[in-house]
Amino acid sequence: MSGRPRLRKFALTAHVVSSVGWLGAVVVFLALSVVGLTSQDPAVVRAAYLAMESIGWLVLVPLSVACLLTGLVQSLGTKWGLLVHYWVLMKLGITVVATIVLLLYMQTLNHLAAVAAELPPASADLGGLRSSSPLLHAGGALMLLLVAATLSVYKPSGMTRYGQRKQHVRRARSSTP
Amino acid sequence: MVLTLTLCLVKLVPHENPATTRTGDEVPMTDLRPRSDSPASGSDDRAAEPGAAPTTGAPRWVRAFGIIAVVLVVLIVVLLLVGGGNHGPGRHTGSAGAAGQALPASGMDAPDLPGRVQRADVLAP
Repeated sequence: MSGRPRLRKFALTAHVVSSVGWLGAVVVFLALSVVGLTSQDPAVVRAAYLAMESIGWLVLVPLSVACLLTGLVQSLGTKWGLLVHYWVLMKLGITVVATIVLLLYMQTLNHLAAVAAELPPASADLGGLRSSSPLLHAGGALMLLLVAATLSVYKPSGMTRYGQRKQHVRRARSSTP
Repeated sequence: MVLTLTLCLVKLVPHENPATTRTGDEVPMTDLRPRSDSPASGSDDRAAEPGAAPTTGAPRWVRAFGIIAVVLVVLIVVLLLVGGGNHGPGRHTGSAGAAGQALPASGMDAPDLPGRVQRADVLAP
């Protein structure tokens, strides 16, 4: 792929769009979680939890998977490699952990949305619907994605042992006639 | 005399000069090319050793991240244990538990919420 600049740029664009979109969606989710936790209007609280569930399935999950896949393509299709540089490895870890936690957390979001949907519209008693859990999870996700974005921009130096060995082998090969 | 004094100052404070303090870490953000991060990049004699692949440990920033990650994981585990291990959808049943019907075990199936158009309905002729 390194010999195809157009394809490389397309892959890079897809990765940037999916990762930045994921970050933005998490910020929206965070705002909804604050609304669900603090609003005095029961209808608004119910709507917030229903919207969170929809955003989760329709935006967060697809973008997280897209970010993971495009990131794999980016690393394996360029000279950076997947396991060569620490910052790439760390980003991979962050993305995998965040995606797994998101997929697991969708159960909770499904549950909260089901509770919100089945509450009587006129009911002022929200019962156990208010939860700080979406706020905590969205805050954690935002922190992780900001770290990943920072790593992408700064690309701090440091090669893994595997990367160092690989570089050593490459240099040895190039030095031998 | 002036030259000697200047030379002495440079020797005394060698890192004051920005030109001499620039390291490999300070690469412009626009430089997206992979850098040569190997510690052997400046010492060809080590790299030339037959059969030996000189490797070094993780940089300081990686170790710092690792420590922070371990602390956070331990903190989360402790919080979960203190909370009685009740983590997940079940903890939100509360007084609204009557509405909390059985949920898909996989977590990958969207619930059938009121007002949602079902795929089967859309696909049906």
